[in-house]
Order: sequence, then C-alpha cells, then structure tokens
Amino acid sequence: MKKLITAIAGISFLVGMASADVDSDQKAFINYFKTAFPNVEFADYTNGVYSLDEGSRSQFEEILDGIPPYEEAVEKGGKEFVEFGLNKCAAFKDPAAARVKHPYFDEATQKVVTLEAALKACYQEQTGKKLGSKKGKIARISAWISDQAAGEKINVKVEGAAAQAAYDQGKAFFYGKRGQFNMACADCHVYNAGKKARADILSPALGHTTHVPMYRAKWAGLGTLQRRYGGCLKNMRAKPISAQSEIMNNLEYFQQAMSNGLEITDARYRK
Amino acid sequence: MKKLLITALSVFSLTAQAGFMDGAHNWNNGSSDPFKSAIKAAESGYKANLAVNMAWRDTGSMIKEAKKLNAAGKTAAAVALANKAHHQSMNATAQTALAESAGPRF
Ligand code: HEC
Repeated sequence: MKKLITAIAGISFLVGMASADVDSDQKAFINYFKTAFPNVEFADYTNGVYSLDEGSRSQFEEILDGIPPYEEAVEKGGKEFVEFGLNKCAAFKDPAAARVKHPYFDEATQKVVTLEAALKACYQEQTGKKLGSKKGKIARISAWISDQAAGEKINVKVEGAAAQAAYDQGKAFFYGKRGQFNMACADCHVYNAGKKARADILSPALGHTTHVPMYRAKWAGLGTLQRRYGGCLKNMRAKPISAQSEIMNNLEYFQQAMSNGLEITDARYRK
Repeated sequence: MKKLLITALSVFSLTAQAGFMDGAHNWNNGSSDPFKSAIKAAESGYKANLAVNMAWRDTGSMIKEAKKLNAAGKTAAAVALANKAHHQSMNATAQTALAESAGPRF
C-alpha cells in the first residue's frame, strides 16, 4: 500500500510536469544528455546512435564518404517532386522552407501538420491519387525536400493553448509506458541511450528527427520517421498506430520540438 | 537493461496488488456459455484500449485465435486464450491511467 501511495504521489508530480513550456522542457532534455554524455557536442546529436557509439562511428563515416546507398532514391524523389506537380502546391513552392516549417500546428484544423501530411494532401490535389505514409515514393520525395534544407535548423513552434495540448499529448505518449513490456520510448531513448538492447546500441532521442526520412540497412531503403515509430511500438509489444494519425503526428511534433536548434542533415544512414 | 526490467516488474507488481494480474481468475461472469462471456470481456477491453491508442500488440490476434479454437470445438483452450487476451487488455487499461499524464523523471 505504501508503495502504491509513493507511486501515486510520483504521478501527481508528473501531472504537474506535463504542461511545462517547450523551451524549459528542451532545456531539461538537453541537460539530461549533457550530464549523461559530457563529451558529446550538441551539434553531433544529428548523428543519432553514432554520436554515442565510437565503435560504429567509423563505419558510418565511411558510408557517408562514399556514395550513400540512398543517394539514387533521393534523386529519384526530386524528379518525382516535379513529375507529380508537387512544386505547384503553395506548401511546396519553396521546398527548403517547407521542411523547416513542418511540423506545425494548424489553427484552422486544430491539428499538427507534418511534412508527410502536407505531401499527401498536395499529391492528392495534383494527381487525384493517394500517397502512402511510410516508404517508397513519400519517403523519397520527403528526403529530397529535406535535402534542400540541409544545414538549416529545426525550429518547431508551439504557440497557443491548442498547440500546447497537442504537444503535451505527444510528450505523454513519449514518456508513458505501454505494451506488454511496459516500456516507454524514453526508457530506451533517454534513460538507456548509449546502452545496448540486444544487438543494438540505443540512440538518444535528442536528434531523432534531423535526418528523416532515414535510410536503414535493415529496410534496404528509406522510411519516414513514423515508419520507425511503428517498428519501435511493435518491439515494445504495443500495437502499432497508423502513420499520420493524430497521435503519431503529436508524437512527432514533440520529438521535433525536442530537437530544435539541431541542423537538418542529409546524412540519413542508420544500421 | 536489468534496471529496465526491474522498473517494468515493479509496475506490474503494483497492478498485481491492485488485483489485475490474478492469473487463476476465471472471467466467466455467470453466463451459461463460458466462452461467450470470456470473449466478450476480452473484446470490450481491447476495444477500449484501441480507442485510447494503448492496445497491446498481440491482444487482437489472441482474440481471433480464441474464436477459431472455439469454432473448432476446443472450448477449454478457447476460454483460456480469451481470458489471456482479457488480462492483456486489463493491464493496458492500468497503463492508460498512468500514461495519460506521464512526463520525464528529470
Ligand atoms: C526496447 C527499446 C526501445 C523502445 C522502448 C523504443 N525504441 Fe526506438 N529504437 C530502438 C532501437 C534498438 C533502435 C535502433 C537503434 C537506434 O537508432 O536507437 C530504435 C530506433 C528509433 C528511431 C530511429 C533513430 C535514428 O537515429 O534513426 C526512432 C526515431 C525511435 N526509435 C523512436 C522511438 C519512439 C518514438 C519510441 C516510443 C514509441 C521508441 N522508439 C521506443 C529501441 C527502442
């Protein structure tokens, strides 16, 4: 019973935390990683697990030094961007600006709009057809758009009560335990970042959104950030939630905001 | 990883104290068809989990499999599996209350 009370007291403490503003959240977030990894520069978190794992870093750098396995796909995405008339949509007149603008909270629809959501809408408008959410065309085109913004900084804004509510929901999703293993995203990507889980070293959540869509050797292809969410949920033995659903978009909103100030990079390779 | 396991286990022991993990419990709530009541409990629990994005990975397939077993006349196995699925949904419900307001511990 005492244990229960402590747990409940802990929870009410967390409730108080849940609605902190983004800047102070991110400060605490960065500070956590700074304390855990004093030798890792803030800017290096764009490199995911390779920012922490010396062992695989050289392999990563070698791959980037050569012709990365996703180069052709990204080029193709650029051609597709024009071929399908996506440059005609207002949202994509300036592709680099589009990458920096998304995800944002749209007051009109009261929803988070991810880059992929905007792409899907534009593609439908131009072709009358549906675009997927996780791999193939959408990942190629999204990667090409992001390439145009390489070197610019992630700058997600959370302004107003409704945006804050979406952010808070994404944040709670990230820190909440779920699935048969009773784990939270944070259990792996915050509290155990840099440690080994089976054959993998766990990446820090700081920088999770700088190189998306990412190329994964295991996929032998590109995938959107939310494709990865599905995979991690499955590994937690939680039921994966549809990519581009409201809750996944809110999770992305939170994750992107936590990476504010980091450079968008075209170094998309991951194991 | 060990630490992870310990936190995971301690949360589950809490839910156990709260009576959610009583493995011996039979979810038959008095209905004359034990499968019917077991599967109904599993399905409504799972549906509630889905509605709040907290469903576990395998609960849905366990429910499907239980129905198959029942159709094949393997009632005892079907009831056992339906109960297992219901347990999962109860644990997911217990997680939901905590997850809604979860935040960092730093
Ligand atoms: C059991 C541990 C575990 C949990 C829990 C987990 N993941 Fe992962 N995740 C991994 C592993 C392992 C990888 C691959 C190695 C790496 O990059 O961390 C990965 C990769 C990722 C990546 C890609 C990182 C990159 O640099 O490309 C993202 C993004 C991610 N996870 C997000 C999440 C989110 C969001 C959640 C919660 C829904 C989550 N993960 C839960 C283990 C986990």
